[in-house]
Amino acid sequence: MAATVQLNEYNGVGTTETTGISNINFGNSDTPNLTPSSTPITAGANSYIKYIKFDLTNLSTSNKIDNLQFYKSAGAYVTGEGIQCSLRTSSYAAPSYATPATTTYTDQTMPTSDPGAANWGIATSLSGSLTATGKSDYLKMQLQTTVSTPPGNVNQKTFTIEYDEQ
Amino acid sequence: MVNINILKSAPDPVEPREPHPFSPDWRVTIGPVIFTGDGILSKEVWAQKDLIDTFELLFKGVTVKLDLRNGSIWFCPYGAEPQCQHHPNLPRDTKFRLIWFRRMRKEMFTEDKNTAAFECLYYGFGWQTTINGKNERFGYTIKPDSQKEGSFYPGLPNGGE
Repeated sequence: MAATVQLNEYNGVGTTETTGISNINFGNSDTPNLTPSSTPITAGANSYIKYIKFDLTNLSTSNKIDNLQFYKSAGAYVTGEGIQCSLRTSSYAAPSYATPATTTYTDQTMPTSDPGAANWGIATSLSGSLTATGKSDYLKMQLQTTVSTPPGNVNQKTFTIEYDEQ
Repeated sequence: MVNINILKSAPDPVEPREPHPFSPDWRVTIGPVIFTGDGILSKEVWAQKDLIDTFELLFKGVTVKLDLRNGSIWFCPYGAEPQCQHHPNLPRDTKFRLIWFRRMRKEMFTEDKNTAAFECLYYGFGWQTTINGKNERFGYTIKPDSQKEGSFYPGLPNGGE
């Protein structure tokens, strides 16, 4: 049987954990599993920062999980839209948690193709691994807009998560 | 029938829609002891991974054998002579480490509820060693084909050891 994994989101002052999230939508609320139409972002503003972790809940017959990768694989940005994140394939530093806010976050541009190597760390290292139940480092992300961003829905996005199982 | 003609373009493999579209059978030798299994290494073999002498993938029409004592890779079609596809010709004391892993993937769509499980994209198969202080890797990507056997593509993606 394969390893069992899920994504978790963390919110609020107390780092409230929601396990097994079903979406990573961005919005004007520090809430997991958002419905974007209920939490629209005003043009020129940012979404609440999202903190996500990859969570190995059962290693089962597997031996090791590593090489964690995350990228936007589909969905064009509209004018002025972009996503900043902590993902990088070198000079990696694990992001720390802070109460999510809409303050502009500046780090790396969300990759839009397969990074070809780990870009999401485990145990503060891109070469880190999980050999028992446990979680990755935080992945920190924020969707940002400008006053030029047109009203209405942005295009649907596809995020791809990959890992190696040995 | 397994496509082992790695010198030509292979047909596009079927995109996996199951967590494990195929789990290749393997056979490992560590000295006089033989271990068998399928998919990723069993925990028993994993614990002795650095002692593996040979690692074989057992498909219906062909056996693929990696000899970690010298880094050679052999394709052995059923009923035919084995073909050495690669021999690195490195010094005798070169230490080769097995690369054998599967790449798992999940897509999450905004505006949708995403409940699908991770799926196996491919397996990475080969060896890794250190030459003059630099890591060298050689091997293949094995993708599921329409018959749920493996299609071999030269070139090893990042991952494994």
